[in-house]
Amino acid sequence: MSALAHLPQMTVTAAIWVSVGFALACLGVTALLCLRRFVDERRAPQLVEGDKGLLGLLLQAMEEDTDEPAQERTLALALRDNRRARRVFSHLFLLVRGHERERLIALAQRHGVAERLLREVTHRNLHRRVDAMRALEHLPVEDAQRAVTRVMSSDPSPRVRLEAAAILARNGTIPGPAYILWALDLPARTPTRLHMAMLRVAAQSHGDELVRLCHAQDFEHVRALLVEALGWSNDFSHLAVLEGMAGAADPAVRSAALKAALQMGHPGAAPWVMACLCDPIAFVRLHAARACGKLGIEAAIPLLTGLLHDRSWWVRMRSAQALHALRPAQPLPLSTIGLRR
Amino acid sequence: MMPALTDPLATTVLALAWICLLVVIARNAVSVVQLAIAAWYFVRRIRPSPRSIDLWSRCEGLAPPVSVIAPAFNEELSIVESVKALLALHYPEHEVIVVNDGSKDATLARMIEAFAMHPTDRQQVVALQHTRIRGVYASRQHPNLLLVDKENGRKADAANAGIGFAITPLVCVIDADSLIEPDGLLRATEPFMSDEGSLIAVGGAIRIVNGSRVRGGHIEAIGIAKEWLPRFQIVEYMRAFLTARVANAQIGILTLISGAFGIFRRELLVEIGGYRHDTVGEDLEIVTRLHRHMRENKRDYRIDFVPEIVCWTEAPATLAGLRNQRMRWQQGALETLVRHRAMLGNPRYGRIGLLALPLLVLEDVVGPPAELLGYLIFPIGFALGILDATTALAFLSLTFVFGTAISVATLALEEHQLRRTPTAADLMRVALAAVFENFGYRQANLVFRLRGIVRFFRGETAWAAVPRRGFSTDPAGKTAWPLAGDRRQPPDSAPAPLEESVPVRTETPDLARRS
Repeated sequence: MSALAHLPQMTVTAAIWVSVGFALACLGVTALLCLRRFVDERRAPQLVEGDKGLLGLLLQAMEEDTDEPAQERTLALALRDNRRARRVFSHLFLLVRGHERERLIALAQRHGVAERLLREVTHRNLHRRVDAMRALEHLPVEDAQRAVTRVMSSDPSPRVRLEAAAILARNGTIPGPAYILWALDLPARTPTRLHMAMLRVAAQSHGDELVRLCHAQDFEHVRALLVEALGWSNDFSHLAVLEGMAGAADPAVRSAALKAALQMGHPGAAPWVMACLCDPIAFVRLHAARACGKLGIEAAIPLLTGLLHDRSWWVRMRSAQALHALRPAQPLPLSTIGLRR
Repeated sequence: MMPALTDPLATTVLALAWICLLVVIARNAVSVVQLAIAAWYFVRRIRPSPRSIDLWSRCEGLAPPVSVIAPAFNEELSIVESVKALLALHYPEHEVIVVNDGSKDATLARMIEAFAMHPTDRQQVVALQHTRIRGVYASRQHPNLLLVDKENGRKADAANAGIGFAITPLVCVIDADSLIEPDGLLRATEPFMSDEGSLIAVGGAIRIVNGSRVRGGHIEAIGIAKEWLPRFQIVEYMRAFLTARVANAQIGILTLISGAFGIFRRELLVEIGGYRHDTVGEDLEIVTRLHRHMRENKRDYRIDFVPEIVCWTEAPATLAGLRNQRMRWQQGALETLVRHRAMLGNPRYGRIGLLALPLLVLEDVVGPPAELLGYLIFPIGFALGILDATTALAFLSLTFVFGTAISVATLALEEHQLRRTPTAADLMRVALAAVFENFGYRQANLVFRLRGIVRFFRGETAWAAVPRRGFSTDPAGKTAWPLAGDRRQPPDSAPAPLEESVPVRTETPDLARRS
C-alpha cells in the first residue's frame, strides 16, 4: 500500500503535463483550422474573381490562336497557381467541343497543367496517386490517359489499378477484357461487382475478344463473369455463344448466360431460356423464370405455372412475378407461393 | 501530506482513488489509440468519389438491390414526408418497406391516403416478428413501396417484420424519423461493390439534425442548434462515429451499427433470427450476435463502416430526453454484455472476445461509475488530507483537460477530412461546445448512465421515451418511441384501415434464433 501512496508521484505529475500538453496541442490545431476556414470564407469571392480572370485569358487565347510572347507570358503567370489552373481547365473541358477542345488541350500541354499530376501518379502514398489520377480524369491530355493506363498495368496496389481501370472505363478508353483480367490480377483474385462493371464497359467495344476469352481454358474460373458481360456487347450475333454457354457444366455460367440474354432482350433466346426452366439448379431456374418474364416469352407460361410448386421459394416467387408480367389480366394470388419451406 | 496507511479509511480512499485514476487513464488511452487509428485511416484512405459511384450505379443490375425498412410508430406528422424522401433516394433498385408498429395515431391512414395504397397478398419470406400482421399494402403510384401494418411490438419486432418481407440481398434498417442523405444509400452500399464475399454489414456516420432547415424530408441547409445540449451531442456523435467506430472497424472490432442506419445482408439476419425483442439495445446486440454467429461457424466475414455522413437524426433537446436515451443505451449495453458473457475474454471469439467486449466492459461497466466516484473521492481525499493536491489535480486533468483534448482533436479531424460544418462561425460554436461539454454535460451523462446500470440490475424493461420536437415548426412534439406500458397495450385507438386488411400467414422461424 505504501507503493500506492508514493510510487506514482511521477506518474501523477506526468499525467497532468501530458493532459495539458495534449489539450494545448489539440486546441492549437483546431484554432488553426478555424482560422483557415475563416480565411477561406473571406477569400472565396477573390478566388471566384481569380478563376473568372483566368477563364477570360484562356478564352482569349483560344479565340486568337496565337502564341504571341506577351500574351503567353501573361497566361503563364496566371497559370502559376496550379490548383486554379486545373480547376479552370477542368471546367472549360466540360464546356468546349471540337476545334476549341483541341486548342484547349494544346494550351494545357504547352503550359504543363498536368505535369505535377503526372508526377503524383507515382507518389508513394496510395491515396495521393488516386487523387492525382482523378484530377487527370478531367484533363483529357494525351499524357494523362497514357499515365492512367500505365498505372492500371503497373501500380503495385490492386486498389489503385482498379481505380485506374474505373477512370478509363468512365472515359470510354478502357482496354480490352484480356488486358483488364491481366492488369487487375483476376486469375488470382475473387471477382467483385466493380470488376464486373469494367468488363461490361469493355464489352461494348471488345465483344469479339470477350467471346474468345469465354472459350479459353485459362479463364475458366471467371467464365461466368465474361459470359455475363457479353450481354452488354449489344451484338446479337453473340446470342449463339450464349446459347452454348447455357448448356455449360457450371451452373454459374448457365445463369450468367441467362442474365446476358435478358440484357440483350432478343426474343431469339426464347427456346434455350425456356429449356433452362427445367435446370436442376434452383438459381438457374430462378434466372430463367425472370428472363422469361422480362423477355415476354408467352410460350413459357405452362412451365412457369409448374414452377409455382417448385421446392425453392425464390423460384416460386420469380415464377409468379414472371406470370404476372406475361398475363397481367389474370392476376395470380401471391398466397400460392406460400412461405419459405 | 500522507496519513499513516494503517488507517482503514485512508487505505480505502486511497485504493478507490487509484482504481478510479487507473480506469480513467485506461479509457483515455483507448480514446487516444482510437483517435490515432482514425487519423491514420483518414490520412491514407482513398476518398469516395461521386464519379466512382456513377460508374456502377448506372450499370443495370450491378448495384445490389436494397430494402429500406422503416419501422414507424405514431409518426402521422412526418411519415408522408419521410417516405417521400426514402422513395426519392438515389439508388438504382430499392424498395421501401414501412412497418406501422401499431400506431395509435393516423400513421396508417396517412400512408394509405398519400400513396394510394391498397391491400395486397404479398407473402413474407420468413416470419421473424412475434406479433400479428394485420395487413399488407402496396402502392399504385410507387411499385417499390410496401406498407406492413402490424400489432404493436417494439422497434426490433417491427424491423423483424420488415426483414421478413424483404426479398433483396441487402436490407437497410433505419428509424422512420432518420433523414438519409439523397446519395446516402449509394455511399453506404459502395463497400459491397468491391467486396469479395465476406462483407456482412455496413454502418454509416450519423449526425445531429437539430438546427438544420428540413423540408420535404430533406435537409435544405445544414445548421448548428442554438441550444447547448444538441451542440454537445454533435461533438459526442463526432467522437463516436469519426474516431471510435472508424478505428474499431479498421481493426475488425466494430460491435455497434446504429439503429438509425445500418445495412445488413438479409440472409444472415434471417439466419440468426433477426433482432431480439427482449432488449432495449437491439442494435448493439444484433451486431454482437452476428460476430458470435460467424465466429462460431468459422465463417470468414467483416463489418465495415462508412465515415461519410449518410444519415441525420434528431437529438434530444431536453435533459429528460437525454436521460432516457442514455439510460436506455447503457441498459442495452449491459444486457448485451450479460447475454454474450461467454464471449468475454474467450480466445475462440478472436479479437471480439479478447478486445471488443473487454473494451465495452471498460466503457460501459467500469468506466462511468469509476469516473463518477472519482469526482467524489478525490475532493474528499484531498479535504481529509489523504490525497495530495497533485494527485487530485491529476484526476481532474485526466477527465476535464484530456476529455477536452479528445473532443477538440476529433473536431479537428472532422474539419481536416470531411468539412461538413457549414461555416467558420459554426465551427467555432462546435469547438466551444467541445470544450464546455466536459464541464457539466459529461458528468450529467455519467449520472444518466449510472441510472441505466441501476435499471438493468432492477430488471426494468420499460422503454424510456425520448421526446422529440420533430423537424417541422409544429409546436406539438412527437415521441419516437413511447413507454413500454403504452406499447404493450392493444392499440384500441388504432385507426381502422381504409380497406379491409388481408390476413397474412406467419410461421415460427425454424432456425435456432437465440444464441
